[in-house]
Amino acid sequence: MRRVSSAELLSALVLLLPLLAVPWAFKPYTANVLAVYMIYGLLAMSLGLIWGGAGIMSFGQTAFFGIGAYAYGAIGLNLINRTQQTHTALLGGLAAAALLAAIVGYFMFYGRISDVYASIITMALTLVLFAFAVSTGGDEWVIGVARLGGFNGMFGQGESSQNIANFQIPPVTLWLPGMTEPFAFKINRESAAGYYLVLGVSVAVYVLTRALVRSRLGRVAVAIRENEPRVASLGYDTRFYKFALFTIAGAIAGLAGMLFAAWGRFVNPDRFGLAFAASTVVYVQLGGRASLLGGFVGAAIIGHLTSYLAEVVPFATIPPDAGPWITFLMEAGRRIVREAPLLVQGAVLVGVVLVLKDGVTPPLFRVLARHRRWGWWLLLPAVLVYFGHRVACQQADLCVF
Amino acid sequence: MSLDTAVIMVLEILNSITILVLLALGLALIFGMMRIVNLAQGEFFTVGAFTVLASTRYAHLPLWLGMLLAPLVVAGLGIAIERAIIRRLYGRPLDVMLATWGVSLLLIGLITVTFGAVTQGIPFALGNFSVGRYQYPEYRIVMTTVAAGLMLSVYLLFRYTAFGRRARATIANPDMASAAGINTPRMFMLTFGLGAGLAGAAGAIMAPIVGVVPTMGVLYIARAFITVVVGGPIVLLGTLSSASALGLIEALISRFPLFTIATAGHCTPPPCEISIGGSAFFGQIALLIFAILLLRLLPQGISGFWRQRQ
Amino acid sequence: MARQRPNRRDFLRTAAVAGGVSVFPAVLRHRPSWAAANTVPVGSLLDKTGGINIYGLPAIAGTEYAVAEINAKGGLLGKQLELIQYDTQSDIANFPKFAKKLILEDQVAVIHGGITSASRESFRPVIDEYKQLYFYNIIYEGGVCDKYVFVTGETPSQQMGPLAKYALKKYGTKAYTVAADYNFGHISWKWWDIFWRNGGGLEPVAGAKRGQHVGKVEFIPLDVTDFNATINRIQEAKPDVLMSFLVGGAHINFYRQFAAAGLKNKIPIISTTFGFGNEHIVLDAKEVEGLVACYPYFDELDNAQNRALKAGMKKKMGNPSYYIGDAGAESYNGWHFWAKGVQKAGSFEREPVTKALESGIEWDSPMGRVKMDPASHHTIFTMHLAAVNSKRGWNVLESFPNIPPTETMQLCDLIKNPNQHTQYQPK
Repeated sequence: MRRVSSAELLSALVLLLPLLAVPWAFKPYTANVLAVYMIYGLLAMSLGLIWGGAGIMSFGQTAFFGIGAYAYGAIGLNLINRTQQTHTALLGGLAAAALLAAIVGYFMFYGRISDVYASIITMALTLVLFAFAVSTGGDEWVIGVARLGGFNGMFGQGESSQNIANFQIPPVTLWLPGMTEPFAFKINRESAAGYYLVLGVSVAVYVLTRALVRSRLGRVAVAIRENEPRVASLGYDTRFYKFALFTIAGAIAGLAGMLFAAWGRFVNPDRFGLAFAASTVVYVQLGGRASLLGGFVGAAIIGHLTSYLAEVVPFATIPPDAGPWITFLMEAGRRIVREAPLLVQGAVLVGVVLVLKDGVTPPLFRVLARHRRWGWWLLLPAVLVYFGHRVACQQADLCVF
Repeated sequence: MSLDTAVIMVLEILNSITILVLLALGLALIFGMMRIVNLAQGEFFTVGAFTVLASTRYAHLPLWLGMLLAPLVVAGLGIAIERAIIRRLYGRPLDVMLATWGVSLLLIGLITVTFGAVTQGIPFALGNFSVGRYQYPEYRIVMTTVAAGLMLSVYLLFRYTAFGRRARATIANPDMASAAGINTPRMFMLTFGLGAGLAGAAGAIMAPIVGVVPTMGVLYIARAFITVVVGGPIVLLGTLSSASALGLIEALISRFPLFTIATAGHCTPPPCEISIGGSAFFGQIALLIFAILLLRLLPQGISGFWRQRQ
Repeated sequence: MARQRPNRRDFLRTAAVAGGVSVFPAVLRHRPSWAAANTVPVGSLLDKTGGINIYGLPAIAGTEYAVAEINAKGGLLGKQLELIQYDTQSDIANFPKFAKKLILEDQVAVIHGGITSASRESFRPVIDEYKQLYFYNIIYEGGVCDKYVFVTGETPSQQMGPLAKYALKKYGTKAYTVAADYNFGHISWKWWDIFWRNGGGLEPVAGAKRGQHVGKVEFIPLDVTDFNATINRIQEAKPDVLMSFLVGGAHINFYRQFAAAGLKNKIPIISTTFGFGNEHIVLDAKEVEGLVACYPYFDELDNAQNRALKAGMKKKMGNPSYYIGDAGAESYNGWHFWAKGVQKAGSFEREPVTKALESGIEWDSPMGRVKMDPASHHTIFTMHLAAVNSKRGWNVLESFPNIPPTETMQLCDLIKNPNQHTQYQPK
């Protein structure tokens, strides 16, 4: 077992301390958004695990994400009013995602379907699930009290004498032995428990996955990525290693999906859609698939960029006295910015493939590792001072911005 | 089943097959001959449709001229993309796939910037004919004819022209072809352009019956890929056979309910049951499931299976 | 411009501080403080981009116009409105996200917006959790019963009553139905079944003919563009009239293919959704002329308020043939309903404004007389039946004043039972 290096300790501190302080340092919206970036990051990490680890490019992580979310929703809606907790729903969601991944993995790897075909099959899988989820709007698509709801997404139907009243997917709710009442993880003005839940799960899964990558399974997977026939000739059953890694990655994606359903209290077919599948790949590409953190970094960058563009630019107004050329250029610019999320994703995919093969995370860490003295003496204190200031002013309600 | 219903059934199946052939032909060429998974193919289709829209609505050209223009425009675009991006990535199949996906997103974005995200229509003048109790649009027969014509032209091109011979040589063994004096980068470029042009033609032909919208390619790309993958390595034979098998399945399942599952919902009218089959959605689901099962049995696709048997 | 953009130095500094990772969303935001300012932030969530923007763009135009109009007349209670809009990009996940942002960070007085029922249901839990006043300004399937929500769009009973009576009188009793395959289509179908079989009312209408269905109702996914099989099934069923609940860009093709199959002059179409996404402008007049729809608003309505609105919108959009449409007019009305509530209450707080709106505010809008029903928080409209004409516009055939959203009113009483936050649907 390798010792944790000082560069690693430094990165962990620089990343984790601010993340722990966020609910104290900012308004609840920030914690809300960061939670969803971490959820997407977890999904991206599951793709990074099989893509970076074993060279399997799966478009279908969104399928497992969606299945996890739907299963959590269906079980949660049915049981929450009876048991007041979501333990079964959490287990069920995880099991559903892992099971689906195992079935698909079995078909692909034991059928010896090669890499490009595997990508196409996983893409078809997520599109089938999308088409299926979309077409379940009818009254007949019901599991207990959980209506699949088609395009609108899942909801619970409460019974009364002549009509149906809807209710929503529950947040993660625990009621363990010894607790006097159930505890729901929410993010709002009063509580940041939901945020810390997502943060805790992300860190825990990251640490476990890192250990997995360094275990025998992870090392064999890398060998398979580099030269599968040789690994097979050494007596390893490569099919099994790929199958196992794929199933684990599917379960992680399902876990992210459950957190998502509990975070937003809804799930809809878009989680299976091509656009979401695309953004997951983009996160990993941009962040870098060689590092497990890459997915988180990519999700945060793209997530922030898209919401920044969505918030600010489409509503900028053209001055009425502008000449025809200015008007034309501004209108063109505005239209381009309006479609920017798509254009950015496209540019990232092409650009990373052609230019920045490793994504942004590995170079960032290399810089940090090389200049770690600066990091310890400058970066870390700067982070501490800045967040100390934020926490102080936010708690005293004196923040100007 | 009465006679007119049977005839309409046959026409519906023919229509499903036609659409699959149109979608898959260009893709099959690029995938089958160059081993490139081109995820931008759907947008080549879209660009074809928008060329027709732009030339009829803004340049006021006649419809047929717009339809002739579309494949040329898209072939040009395909060649430009091959030179700018794909050329640098030969031998890296996953990277090609990602890069073409990026191109696809960029194209959707650029088309939306130019034309807006609104669905636009292209009116056309052809009438319809009666089959017993039914009216059936003539345009769909025209589509089938054009699809057959395109397949025949591709066959003749590769079988009987100098270009075709060189292209086949390049595909069979690039190094040998290069040694024999064939300009292989040029052959790859032209093949890619041809595949793109075929997608453009498909988009142009289908534009009048579907809504023209920047995201239209996304609706078709999965079906196109499934058709190609199921078809296997022999381009024309594979495309035709897999389009026929899948189109038949799709049309039949779209029309006939297979069985029903009762559920506990509140339906109007009761009883509440899930009908498997009998709708366009189950047609597409059946197509995809059938394709996945077929690939498990015949990993090389239909034409690969035939080739092995011989 | 809604927000000041951060400069490059800010960006670099923050990026350096945060190690390039994830903490900068709120750090970059430069916010004015509301308390001192003489403006009040108000929020709008509509799709400016993506597939749903055929409905979003007209609604955004109506929103911007209404807010500008209110500000031009001196604002509300002496304060100018500061409109904060986020583009939800036709992605459902953006609605709860930006709703939280509007509530928690921008601290808006009111939120307007939401287009599809899916988008509304995705962030209604957020609205309820934070007890936020919210206006939903668009046609929908009815049944929302929520103390914090006001609806200024029409519901099935308001459209279907007049349509069913007209079709029974004019066309015959056998109807075939095609519907978009999501909540809106499914619930619309349930109401339509009741209205059609009762001859145009929730209860059997005395003396009216009773409608019946031929063939099975067909639910069509939103992305289907090829309607060959559907059209053949309609021909098999031989209905007297076709009811369409089709929605969105892909479904426009249905009308074209229906006309191409030569059925336009054989089977008349009625619809609660046609024209709402400006389908009558997208399609050729030859393809849909004579199709009948029923809305509270058509640009062709002739009254002083509408003339003023049309002139103002055409100027704002810089387009002399700009079409406002039902979505634009309802957004416009929604903001004015809220403004009237604020003025009457003398406050921007949720509870007094709700109370004021529950006093039954009534006014002459560009649609004609509209009234907020206190118990259901829904709008009572003057409905207009109109047919598509040969110039890509509408001929108004008949108007029906005082049409209530019966189906929601009979289930929902927020005065008697204020703690309701749900959506009812027929069993």
